[in-house]
Amino acid sequence: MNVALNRVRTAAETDIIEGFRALEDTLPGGPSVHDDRRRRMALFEREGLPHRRIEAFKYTDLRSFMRELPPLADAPDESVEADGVDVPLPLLENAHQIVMVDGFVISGTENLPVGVKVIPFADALDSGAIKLSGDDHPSSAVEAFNAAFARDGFALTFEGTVETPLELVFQRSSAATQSHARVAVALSEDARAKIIERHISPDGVEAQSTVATRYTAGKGAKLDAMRIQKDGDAAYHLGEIALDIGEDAEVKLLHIVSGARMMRCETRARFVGENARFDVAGISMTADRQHADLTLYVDHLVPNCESTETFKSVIDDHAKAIFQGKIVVAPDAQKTDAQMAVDSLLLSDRADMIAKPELEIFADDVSCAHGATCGDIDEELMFYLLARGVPPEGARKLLLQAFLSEGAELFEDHAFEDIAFAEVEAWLSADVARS
Amino acid sequence: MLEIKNLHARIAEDGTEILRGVNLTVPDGQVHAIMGPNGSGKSTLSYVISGKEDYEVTDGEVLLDGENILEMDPHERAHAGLFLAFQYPIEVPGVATMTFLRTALNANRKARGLDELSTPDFMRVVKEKAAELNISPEMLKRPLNVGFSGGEKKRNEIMQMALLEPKMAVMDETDSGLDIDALKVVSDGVNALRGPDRSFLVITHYQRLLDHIVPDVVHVLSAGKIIKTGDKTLALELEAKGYADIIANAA
Repeated sequence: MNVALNRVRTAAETDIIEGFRALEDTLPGGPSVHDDRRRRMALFEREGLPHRRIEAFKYTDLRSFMRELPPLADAPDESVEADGVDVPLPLLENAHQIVMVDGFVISGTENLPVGVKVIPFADALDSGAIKLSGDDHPSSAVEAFNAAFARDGFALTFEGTVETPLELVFQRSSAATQSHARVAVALSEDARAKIIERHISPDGVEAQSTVATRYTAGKGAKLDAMRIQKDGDAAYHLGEIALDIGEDAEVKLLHIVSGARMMRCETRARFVGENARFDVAGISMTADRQHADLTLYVDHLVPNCESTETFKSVIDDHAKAIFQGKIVVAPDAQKTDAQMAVDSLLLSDRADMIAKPELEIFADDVSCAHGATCGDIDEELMFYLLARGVPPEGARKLLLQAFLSEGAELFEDHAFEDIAFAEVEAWLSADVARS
Repeated sequence: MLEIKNLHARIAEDGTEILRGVNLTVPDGQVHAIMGPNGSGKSTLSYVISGKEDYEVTDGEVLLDGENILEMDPHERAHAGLFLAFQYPIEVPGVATMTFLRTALNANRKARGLDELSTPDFMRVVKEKAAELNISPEMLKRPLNVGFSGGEKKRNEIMQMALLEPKMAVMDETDSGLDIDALKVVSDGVNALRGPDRSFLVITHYQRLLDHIVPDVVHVLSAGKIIKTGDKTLALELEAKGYADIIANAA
């Protein structure tokens, strides 16, 4: 335990601590909000950036990844286009976009669909719609870092059925800076929401971002969520999704990962009401020297809930993909059903996959399973397609598409499924073009 | 026309020699059957002709209309007009049968200098061929061969053959795993495809299939060589007496 106390701080850690002191007074929120921030920072000062000797960060050593920290991003001015910002069209024509650039909200907080309300960051902090304390939900060092530094964000509330999808765009400018965005989304009783998070930045920019999103699904609520991380090839991306699933609620979440030089996203879901369901999936596609870490915790705290965890990865070139998934079934959580499957395909001899599925079960009447496979494309499948005249590139693409697309099958909403298929198709086409 | 000349092949992994000088010619429009005991090299022959990597050709040639297909990749052999009906059609999860058929058909059409079929044209052709083989629209939507019964898989193979219109079809134990009714459907499907420009090499253990798909010539393969060739009565003789006599006489 003395290790943390005695070790030398890295340049990045010093920058974070000093950066916080300089920034602190300018940050929004009342005294208790500031107290929360300081408490999160105090912990950081003690522990520093998480490193490989901490079990959860064994495969993603942030201390060595983040040797130096770029300066904090400035708030974008009126003409964001000048900063290389090119806000994309919505993935779904009917979607309502809320756009943040470099961690600051720039558009989309007006004329929201009926049933959706937005609370500005400062108000959300003071009212507790956005929490920084970290007391009410298990969290990671990444979340603490975000909590201390987040300068902007928003809270959304959903009432009733909202058919219009909300697209939350987390965009980076061409500046090599660090940015921190924090968002909360709450679905009230029986509300229905569809949300897409898009994380985008230009190639070649060594930007570092943290984005923390907290979802709360109230009693009987239904949430379809997709998180698309497609940052530029030099970017570092640290993400966190915290999720509270209420009684009778149904939550579907799909991660699509194809961007960033280094990324880690933690999903921390917990069942807080009975008879709820959570389906989470991941489609991870990496190449070159990318490092992509999807870490998942699903806490079955109450009885009679079901969860499925389906993660698919393809890894090419020298890339490294990591999946850590831990399902915890609390002593009271009888009749839990949890099924985790992690399947990976290595497309090159130098590609790396680490899969760590875990089950921790304290109840005795549950149905839980996990499995992991890792291999390369099945030669028998390839030969069957080749023998029918499908050329090797086409056969490979078809098989990879089939493999990855299974991850998107959780949605009943075909529009969501189609977005996932299109992302897979785009990555595979680019991968074929590169090789 | 398919000509196999002095074909020698071994298992790539351990060097075990399986084919030891196969000679065989299938003229256009003919159906030839290959019979032989277990381990005689029947399936190996079908895989070597179609280009599976697990085998290494050490000598000989396989000519399709005069072109040595051993120098081609498996998909190029298909484009040249070769079709292998698999003994055990592979299950391909995640790829809808329809998507697969379309990809395969268009790849072949493209290679043969034809335009890709439009969606309505493609649907029409597939539905027509599927109906002839009792393949339901439901099956076409399912992932390729996944959860198909043995009979459904074989019917699917014949449907693919009907779509791709090969010059030369190699059928590897198409009768295995079929009940009598399915055998009839599959055989009718094959017979409907017989024609002056298409030849067949039908590999089987049993004479039963040859009651339905009547061959012009029957060959007996044993220990990697053709040891006897005759007309369809040879199959009946084998059925009655077994392989032992013929193998003993050849030795």
